[in-house]
Amino acid sequence: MNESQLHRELLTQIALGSEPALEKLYALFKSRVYNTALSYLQNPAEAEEVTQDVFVNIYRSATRFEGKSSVNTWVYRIAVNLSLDRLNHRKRRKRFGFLVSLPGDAEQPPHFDHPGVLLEQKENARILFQAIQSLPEQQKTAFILSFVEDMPRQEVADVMELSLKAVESLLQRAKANLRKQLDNFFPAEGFKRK
Amino acid sequence: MEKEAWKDRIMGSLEGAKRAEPGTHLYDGIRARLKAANPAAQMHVVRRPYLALAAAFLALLLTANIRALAQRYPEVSVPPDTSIYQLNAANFDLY
Repeated sequence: MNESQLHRELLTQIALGSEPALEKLYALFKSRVYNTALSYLQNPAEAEEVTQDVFVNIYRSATRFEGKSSVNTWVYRIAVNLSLDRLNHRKRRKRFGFLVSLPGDAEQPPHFDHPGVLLEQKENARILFQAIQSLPEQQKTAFILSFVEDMPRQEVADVMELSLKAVESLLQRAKANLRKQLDNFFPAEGFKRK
Repeated sequence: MEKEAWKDRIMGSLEGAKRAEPGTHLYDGIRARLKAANPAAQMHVVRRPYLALAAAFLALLLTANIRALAQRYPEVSVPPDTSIYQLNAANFDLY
């Protein structure tokens, strides 16, 4: 049984209500889901909450998996959608927070250090993640899946339900926007860091 | 020129990065959420064992009493009164 067949078999069992199958799928996908959520949210606690949401969602909607895409693509799509939902929720709370002080509003840490980045790249990656936050949703997704998750372009296109050309165009715009954003972080220009 | 080189370094800073791993007990939270959503699947724990024991004892006592009474007063089988079903044939003598 190859990897893809194993994923489908597990999902079939999950659709029948098997929790051990969900636990096996979790073991296979937890780092992909968590790493994706962490790249969007840049907050480990929120990324863990979204990871939980993703697997609860998989358990509840396994019967609706039509098999048109691979399980890998389907899981990533759920992870991306729930991460974006959380980001939008955070934005709404922030907007509302200008009027009312909301209890339980976690203060977003000023800097995010991705735990998987090489030690000598930590400082540079911190700046890059700050710049990523400013990208529009679709550019952000294309960039995270391609360069943080290191996914092949075709798989990114499948997750985003776009053509390969559209993804390549998104990536070009994302890179151009990031380079523009980086002007604000260049240390030689009087420490303009945000 | 220096700025562009710096940007290249920033843009390439994710090369060689590994995936971040979630906490080791994260699945416990998922399991708890699934159980909370499906209370029927939860194990029921008796919070007052003395009450449960008393209820079981009472049920046992009641069953034993019913059995004893049933043995003391065995049911007498009475043949059904079939006379009411015997129609008077004369009633149908219309002519």
